[in-house]
Amino acid sequence: MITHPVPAIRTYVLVWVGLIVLLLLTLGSAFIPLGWGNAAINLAIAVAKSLLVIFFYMHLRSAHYVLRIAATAGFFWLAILLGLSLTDFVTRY
Amino acid sequence: MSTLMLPVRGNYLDEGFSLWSWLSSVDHKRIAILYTISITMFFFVGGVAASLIRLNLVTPTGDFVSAETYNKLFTMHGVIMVWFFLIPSIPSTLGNFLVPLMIGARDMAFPRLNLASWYLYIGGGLFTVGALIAGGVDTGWTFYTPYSTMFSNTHVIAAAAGVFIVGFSSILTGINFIVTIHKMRAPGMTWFRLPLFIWSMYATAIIFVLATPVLAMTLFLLAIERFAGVGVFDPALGGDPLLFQHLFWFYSHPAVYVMILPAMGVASEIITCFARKNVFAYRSMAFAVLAIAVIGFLVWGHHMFVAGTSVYSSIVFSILSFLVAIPSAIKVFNWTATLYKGSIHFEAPMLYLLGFVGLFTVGGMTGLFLASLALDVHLHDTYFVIAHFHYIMVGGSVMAFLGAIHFWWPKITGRMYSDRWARFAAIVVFIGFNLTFFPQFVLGYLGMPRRYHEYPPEFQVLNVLSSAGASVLAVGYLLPLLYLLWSLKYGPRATANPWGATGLEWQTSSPPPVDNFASIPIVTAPPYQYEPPEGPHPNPSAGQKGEGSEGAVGARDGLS
Repeated sequence: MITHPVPAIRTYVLVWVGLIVLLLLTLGSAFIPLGWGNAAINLAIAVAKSLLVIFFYMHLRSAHYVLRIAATAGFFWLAILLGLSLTDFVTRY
Repeated sequence: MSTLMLPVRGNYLDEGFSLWSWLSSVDHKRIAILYTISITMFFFVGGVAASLIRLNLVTPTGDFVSAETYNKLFTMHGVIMVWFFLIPSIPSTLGNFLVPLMIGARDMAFPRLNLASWYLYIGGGLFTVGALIAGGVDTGWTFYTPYSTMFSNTHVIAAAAGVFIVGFSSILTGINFIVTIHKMRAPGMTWFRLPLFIWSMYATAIIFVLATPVLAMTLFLLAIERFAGVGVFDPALGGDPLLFQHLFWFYSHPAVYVMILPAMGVASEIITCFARKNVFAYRSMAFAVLAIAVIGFLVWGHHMFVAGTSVYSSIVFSILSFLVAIPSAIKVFNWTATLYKGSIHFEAPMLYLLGFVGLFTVGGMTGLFLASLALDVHLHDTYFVIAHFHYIMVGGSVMAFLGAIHFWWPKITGRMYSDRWARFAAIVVFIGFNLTFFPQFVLGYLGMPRRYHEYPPEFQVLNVLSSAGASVLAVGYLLPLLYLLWSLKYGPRATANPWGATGLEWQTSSPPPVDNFASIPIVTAPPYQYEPPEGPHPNPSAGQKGEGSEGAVGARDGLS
């Protein structure tokens, strides 16, 4: 059985607070009209939240390399979905 | 190396006879039987829908059912055949039965998860069948928006919910296969000693895990747009109607490879056995399976060439679609090379698989027609497409499934069937299939669209030929049901290795004991050992242990 260090409760709570802060930032950005900047900021915040969940809640920070490869494969396939779909959406008109 | 010895237990069929002993069993072999019974029932439900479709198309004026009923029939046929028969067909039945046996394990890595996946499959099936009984769905199996979200008055959400649920069954099965193949191989069973069937199951499992979540999300988005008016696909709400097709085909094209990769694995096992020759270029066969699984994820846009996607995107997807033909061709050429100078025996499994190779080749080659941008404009959404994918899914997958059932039937049940009847049925299926679907190539090329309730009178002759073929095909499918069921009671007892095949599953008794092996085998040689260093080819019907199996596993200590 593969074992890895489990983060302390404090870490989980801090990550949760971080996620809430990022959520509030997303909410706040809705009140500041920045055009395409809003989308950019919100996507950046979404990526940051994903990374917090992946590394801390899913324990990938300390996981066995096979698990990291499996998770990376998931993102790679997501990149295929988005990338090849964009060959249509960004060249349609 | 020391291995754990277990007391020899009876065969898995004698482990309990009550219904509960089956419904609560976590034995991979019993779960495989549960799946086999379930998918057979769904196959015949989907087959009845197909029969009614063909009956309606005997006359050009659609006299048999109304247009609305016709739409519901082809939707029911597609939904049931794709998600409740074809996708689980080989992986969930033979995959479940054979993966642990072929790699020298006692069970799957997660036996309870395995049983849970069957319950999810049944739950999803009941949901979808309930929707179909309650009034049906008329969107076609593809659930295309905006029809499915804005216009259809049928039970779209319920049917999609059933497909959503059954998707989780696929994911759980995929996870189980991947972990089992990684972690539970017998000592000495290195990656390049794995039978090619295992490679195909591994590639299939990867597709299950990576593609199915996208289908689940897509159907969820469809449901919330239809139910709550959230704009995802509706342009009036800020959505994009083609986004549904992108997401749907990102799953559904790889799903085609879920149907065909296991069939390829079966072909490799059966052709090498009945040609009494080792598989030609084993490693290229293994890598071709993986290449098909990966490239299969990159081609989905070829379903959308005339849907309004950009020309640039279409060119990219066209090129990628041509690329997937390369590993597919490698496999067909290697099967042919395996046959070359082989001592070929035409038992029923081999007949099915020879049929598979020919029909898959026709299906694959006509796929290249459809991947060509200009030709697709003419052929898109015609009967040419119907014929093409039925050559892959029925001519390919179903032929291989039947071949596999015949090949491993003695192992699964411990009984032999009548080879004479089985060969007759294989020929009937082959003739019936071609009579049903070849006229559809011509119909499509002449311009008959798919999913039409009526058609111009000049298409009647070809449609009557196709419907006549469907009735021959139906007989061909009913025959195995009859003689295989007959064999359960009256068939002669099967020996451990009636075909003289190599591979671990043939080294244990028929049917296998509960724990598969008395002790875990130690593997010291490649999977296929059909070619003795010198001398004549062995006869596959020779007896319990064909000479060709000598050396398949170096040490077989403790095999029962």
